[in-house]
Amino acid sequence: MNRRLLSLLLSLLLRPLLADRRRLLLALLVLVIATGLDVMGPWLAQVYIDDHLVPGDLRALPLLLGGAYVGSQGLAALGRYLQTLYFARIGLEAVFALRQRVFRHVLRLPQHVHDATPTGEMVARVTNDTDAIRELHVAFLATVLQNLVLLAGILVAMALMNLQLMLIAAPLIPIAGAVIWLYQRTSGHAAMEVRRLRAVQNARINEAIGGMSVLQAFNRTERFRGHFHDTNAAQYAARMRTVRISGLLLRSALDLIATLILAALLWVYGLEHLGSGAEIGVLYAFVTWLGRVSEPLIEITQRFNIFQQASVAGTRLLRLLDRPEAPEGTDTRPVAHAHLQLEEVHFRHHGAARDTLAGLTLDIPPGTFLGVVGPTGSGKSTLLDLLAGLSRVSEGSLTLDGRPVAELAPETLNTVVAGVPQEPFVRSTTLRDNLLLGSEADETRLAAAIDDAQLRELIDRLPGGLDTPLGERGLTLSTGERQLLAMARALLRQPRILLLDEATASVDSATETRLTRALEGLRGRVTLIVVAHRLSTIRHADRIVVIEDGRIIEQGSHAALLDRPDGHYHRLWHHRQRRSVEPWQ
Amino acid sequence: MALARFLRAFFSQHRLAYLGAIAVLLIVGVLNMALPWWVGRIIDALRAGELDARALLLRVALLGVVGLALYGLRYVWRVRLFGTSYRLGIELRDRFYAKLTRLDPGFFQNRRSGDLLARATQDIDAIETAAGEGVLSSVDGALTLVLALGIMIVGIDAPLALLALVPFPFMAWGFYRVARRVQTHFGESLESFSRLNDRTQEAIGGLRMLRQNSLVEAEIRDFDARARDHTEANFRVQRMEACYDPVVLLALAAATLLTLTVGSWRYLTDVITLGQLTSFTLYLVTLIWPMFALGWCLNILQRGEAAARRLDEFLGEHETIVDAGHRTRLSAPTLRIDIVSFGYPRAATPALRDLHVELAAGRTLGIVGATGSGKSTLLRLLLRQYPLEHGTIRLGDHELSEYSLTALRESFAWVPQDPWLFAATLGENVALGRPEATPTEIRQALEQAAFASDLAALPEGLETRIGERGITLSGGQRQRVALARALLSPAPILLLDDTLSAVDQGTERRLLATLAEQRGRTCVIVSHRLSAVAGADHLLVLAEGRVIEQGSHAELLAHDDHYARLWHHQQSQRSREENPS
Repeated sequence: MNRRLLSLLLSLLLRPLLADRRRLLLALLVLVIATGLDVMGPWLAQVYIDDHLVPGDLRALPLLLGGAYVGSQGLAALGRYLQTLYFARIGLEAVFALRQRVFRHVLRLPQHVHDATPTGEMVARVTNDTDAIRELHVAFLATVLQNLVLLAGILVAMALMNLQLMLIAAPLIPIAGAVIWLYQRTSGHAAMEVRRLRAVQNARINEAIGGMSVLQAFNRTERFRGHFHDTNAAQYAARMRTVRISGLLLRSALDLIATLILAALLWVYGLEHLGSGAEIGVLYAFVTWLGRVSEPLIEITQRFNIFQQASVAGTRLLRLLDRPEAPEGTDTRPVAHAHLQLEEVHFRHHGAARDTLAGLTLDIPPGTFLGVVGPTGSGKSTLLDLLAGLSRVSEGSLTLDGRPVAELAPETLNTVVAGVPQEPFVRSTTLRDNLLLGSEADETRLAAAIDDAQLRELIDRLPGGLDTPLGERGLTLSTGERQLLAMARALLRQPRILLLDEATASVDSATETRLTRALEGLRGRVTLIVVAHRLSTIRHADRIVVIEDGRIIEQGSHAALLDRPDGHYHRLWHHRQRRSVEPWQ
Repeated sequence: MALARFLRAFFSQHRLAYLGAIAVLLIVGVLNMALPWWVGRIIDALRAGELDARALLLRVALLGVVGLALYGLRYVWRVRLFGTSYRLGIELRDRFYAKLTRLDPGFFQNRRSGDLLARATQDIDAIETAAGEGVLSSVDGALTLVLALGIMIVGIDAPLALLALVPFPFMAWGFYRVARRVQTHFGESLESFSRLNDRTQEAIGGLRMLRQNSLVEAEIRDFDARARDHTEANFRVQRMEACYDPVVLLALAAATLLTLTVGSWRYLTDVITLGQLTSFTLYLVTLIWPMFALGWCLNILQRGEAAARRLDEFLGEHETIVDAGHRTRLSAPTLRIDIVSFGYPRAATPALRDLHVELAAGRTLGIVGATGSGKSTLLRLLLRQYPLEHGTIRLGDHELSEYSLTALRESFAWVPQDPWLFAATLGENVALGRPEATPTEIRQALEQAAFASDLAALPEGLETRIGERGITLSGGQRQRVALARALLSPAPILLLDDTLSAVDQGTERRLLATLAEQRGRTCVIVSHRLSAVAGADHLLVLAEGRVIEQGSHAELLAHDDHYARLWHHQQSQRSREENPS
């Protein structure tokens, strides 16, 4: 990882923690006080043993010491509680802020970024990666800080009581540091392998659940069982590696070091006090403190992988946040006529070698019915994306009433343009909410849109009518039904320009005929821009443009295009006609 | 006690490994307990001035040696105990998968895949944890408790121990209470996370729609509210977890105070020495672990029990298809179907009734009918995916159930309606039925399935990975890959379930030509588009599970009823599409 990335990563991970400085300072203060009180316990015991119990001086003072002990430990417990709460709050707020930031950024990324990224991956950035950072804040940073302060507190107390003995105990820290480092070096890889193989196991089970009838029909169950066992065995081996490493380097190693240091303490202190009566209280305190040292060190070590995961997640987030957001127009003046004009429009996909649209010039006055045909990949859908404001032209100009579409505010453009996509999206809510999408339309308008979109039949069939829940936990609609839903959605908005992208490809022919009739009713009042495979859909368009490789190669009415015997449209039309049905045996 | 059953079987199978681990654990426990006692002895000897430099060195060295021994032994039991319990994980996962392979499609249809996956992962993990950490915490915790108490009561001073230990039961109770509450809150936090995740998924998946309808800002507000809910749910978990430290601190402080006051009295009355008092304090600290282990162990066992019950239920799931046939060879690829009635489990009306048809080797049977008329059901019965109780299906000269499942399945190459591709390379997917096929053969099969131009567009050809972590094929492409898979398979009978309905007309023609070349193979072709089966030797027209017409294409046209009507309708629709007036 290079230095610049590291510093960016640290600022991404740590900066949000500083958002509320007062709370952070308060948390630190409580932490230091609680640790101080906690560490004071053994010291009070030492004073009691050496100054009172051994000399046999048991008058008023021990009572006072007892009171101090109870008070300090009680306050320490309270402090520990508060400090955990404070740190949790700081960490959780920081993650909340980060999540908000990432989600906003994701929703504002250009559409082409989303088109090129699987949804699951983008979702994982917003939820899982930020969750890894929550772990870092809540489970790692606070613990490490608390334990480091505790270690420091213990060392300070030791030094105050007996500097020489403290110097013997102090090497525990660097040695433990070396052990932790070694553990990280050796275990990181093994732990990652365990996680990777776990994902493979899950994928194999998922596959078995989804494709079992195929596996059975092709007699491959034994073979796949064998593969699965191999994965299990590999995961076992990887897990055993982590067990061996942690067995060698974690708790047992730190316990061993603590025992060896205890032995050294007893030896050095004992040598000095051979024959003469030793101050047992000092030993008592040191032994107690030493017993508490290995636990924080182990905690820190075990949580280091949280840090590793968080930095991986953080790096991914940095890369995501680094991508520029899609610029948004700010022109909110209402659109008067909705006259679309394209002048030498070029569009090149991000990172692509050549233009997807290579110089389109089109004049689309209000009320035009424009048909668009062309082979897959010719740029038809890209053209619709440009008109809907989902992408911006790379070169040339695209204007609506003479105003560049890119400068229009999304809200303004959306009141004018509506689209019916090939694969319409359905939200997990009721059918009614899916139609309204947050807008407020009265029942008559809703009913009219439903009738025009030929959706009435479906609604009458549904158990809950308009209030039937759809999506994930509700009813699943077929593609054709979803296209009708999207059509109703678009009509409800009463747009000036309606974009249809193969919007009736999955609708049965009777419904399609009725839909076409409904569209006929809009003709002249609404600009219709229709991309279609079935030439019959656009046969009656005012104008048909044939696009190939991002260029308009032909345009004109159906009749005019058919009049050119060597034209592309002519070929397309007659090619389809030649096909017929023949028995095959 | 489902968990006990799982564990008992496993423990008796791995008795030696477990006994070994527990024996080592015992030694570790004893040595661990001896350490504080030995420290106390050294302190007492020092105070009494009994030691010279050499004697001190010897005593201190022994301390170090015991420390080293502990290190080695701890490593040994960890590896033994966890190594063995992880084996339980492997065994259960293998059993789980084996069970999956014996279940029929009806089972998979009624289960959510997420739920099954959770059983295979979280539930098995929970049982494994009970066999590993559960054993560790119960044995080690009990051992530490007994040894420490024994030494404190018998070895040091009974009255001191009994008084000083009063706070410990409270500590255990506190741990248990806190753990339970943490779990409740944790569940809530998981739920709020999954709500956040679902909505995020929907927002990003439907972003085009959100954008085109000016809903982005509303979506952001909704997200903020859900993220806030999740933050607060998380905070509640943290607030409960924050109670652990104070519980330990308070109980330990109380115990230490009691130790010092009662200890002072016992010291002043010359019952114990100062060294013993120091040892006693060290034992107090070792008692934290058993208190924690108690609650932890209970927790692990509870979870393990719930998981074991769910897993038990799955492993005991009724297997409707019994592999009891012993015929391993198919005499001839002929079919004689006599179905009196067949209904799916839990369905009110039968899916198929009174269906009788015979198909000679190398002949083609076409099956047409509306959605839900029973077309796919017939194919599923041929594959013996469901048991046929009223009626018989004879393959060659014998009933389906007389064949071993392997032999039966070797007879059919099936292209399901919604084909499933595995996360592997394209080539591996095509060669599923014949893994030894050469790349040339695979390519040839793909070509026959009209996939050649799609193949040319794939970045790595046959080596292209599909499915998760690979490219996604469209529905039509998946069907053609599945068809190639069936064509490559050596099975003598081909079953196509609506494979030719979704393709465009040019592709349909190519595929029909391919099928015409499959001479010698018996074919059963289901289609809702009549043109795909018009050339078959015999046609069945199904409606609501019954055969309403049968015969050849010409006969059915002459009959001038359902089939003829449907044929003319589809033909005119087709020509309208191609030749609109």
